[in-house]
Amino acid sequence: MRSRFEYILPRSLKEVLDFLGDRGSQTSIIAGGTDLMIAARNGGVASRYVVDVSRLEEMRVIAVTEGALSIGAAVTFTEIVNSPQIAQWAPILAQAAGCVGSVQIRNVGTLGGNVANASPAADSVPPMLVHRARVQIQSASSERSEPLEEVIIGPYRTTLKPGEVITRFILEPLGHEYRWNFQRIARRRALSAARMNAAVIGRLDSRGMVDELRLSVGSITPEPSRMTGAEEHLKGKIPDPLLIQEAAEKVSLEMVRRSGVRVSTEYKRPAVEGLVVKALTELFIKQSCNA
Amino acid sequence: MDGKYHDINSRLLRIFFTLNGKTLEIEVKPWETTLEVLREQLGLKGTKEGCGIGECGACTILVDGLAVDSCLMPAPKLDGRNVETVEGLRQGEALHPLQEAFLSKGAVQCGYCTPGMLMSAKALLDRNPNPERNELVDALSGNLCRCTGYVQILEAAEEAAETLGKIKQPS
Repeated sequence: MRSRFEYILPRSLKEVLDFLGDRGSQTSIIAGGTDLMIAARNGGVASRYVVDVSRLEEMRVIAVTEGALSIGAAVTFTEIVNSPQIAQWAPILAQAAGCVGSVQIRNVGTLGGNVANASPAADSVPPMLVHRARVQIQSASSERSEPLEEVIIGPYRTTLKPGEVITRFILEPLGHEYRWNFQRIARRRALSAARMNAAVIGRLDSRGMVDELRLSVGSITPEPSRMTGAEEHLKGKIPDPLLIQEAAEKVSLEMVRRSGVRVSTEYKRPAVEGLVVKALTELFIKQSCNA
Repeated sequence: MDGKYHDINSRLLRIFFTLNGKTLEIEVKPWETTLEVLREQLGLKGTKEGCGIGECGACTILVDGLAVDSCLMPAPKLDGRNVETVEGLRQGEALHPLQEAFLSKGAVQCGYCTPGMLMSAKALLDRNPNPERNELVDALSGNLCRCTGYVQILEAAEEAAETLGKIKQPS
């Protein structure tokens, strides 16, 4: 049976925080509702109150200030796709946002919801990790800022406590000197969750050697993270197909080390290697259309 | 909004919105979906439930001009919004050019996905009257059809775009 709850539509972040201060332990936050309403359909929402943050101006701002790209938690994927600031400073996030769900889902689904729901297949997470995203979290009595990889601690598990709400994300803006590439494997281009996805940004120095590389692969480890072994393997070197293949093998070894050998490993090992090879090759060797 | 959402002891929520051009004030249960309110409370059965979990687009409606899955939208979210459903497409006895084109191109077989397809197509054409084929494909990619194979649907949307262009710029 469908979950029943009271629906609260506050007019300011302060109202949200006051409400959470009183009744945070009995409250779920809703933004687009594309995850919460699926859970509610089968009685999966136990909270007495659902607080809607989707209209709060404080949580809907996209701004670039002094080396920081700030994106409100209630910004929708469609808004991310259409944002000139994000196109300029985090185009990989715009590309990934355009892969989420469907037009209908992107029109309401939010960045904050994607992170709070913490699906391993969340398309926004690898791009945010390569932008060293920090998560701004508020409650009635406190405010904290944490690196994204320390907020998502497992499939559908975060460090968010009752009474806390994600208000915005702070990304490191990356200008045109960075190359970027986003890859995704799914059953169907639209309407289907990613089997795995990969975000990579990199930069070559004047001699053609990798001087910056950040790689994150989604859905292959219990908690999202950067693939530092593969990054280090390429840094300071001129990328070539052999080095890229070796880096991809480091990623699949890391996957097995952290997730164990599963029924799906036989598929996932070559799939993730292919995904990483494709991402790094398009990044450094075959200049793709988005470079 | 006058603080009505803060009366947490009240089971029903009063919401005020525009539906197919008419303003409406109704009471909804806070946990109900927009789809349920449209079909059961307001009797607008044009909007269909397919999967119920946002994966098929049969329940697509427009909210402030954007295509959304009404099965995933809590009814309280409608407050203050402009809502369009398939029932709002025709003008009097005349079908909307999209509806005409869906008929003439054979874009309807079982018909279950049709209202959602029409609304997704309308969302695009309202914003972009001359879409490329790939823009149409993208706009309709959140709507599944298990009968037509999509080709006739895309052709119908293109025909409607042409018709709408002629209506808007008589030359």
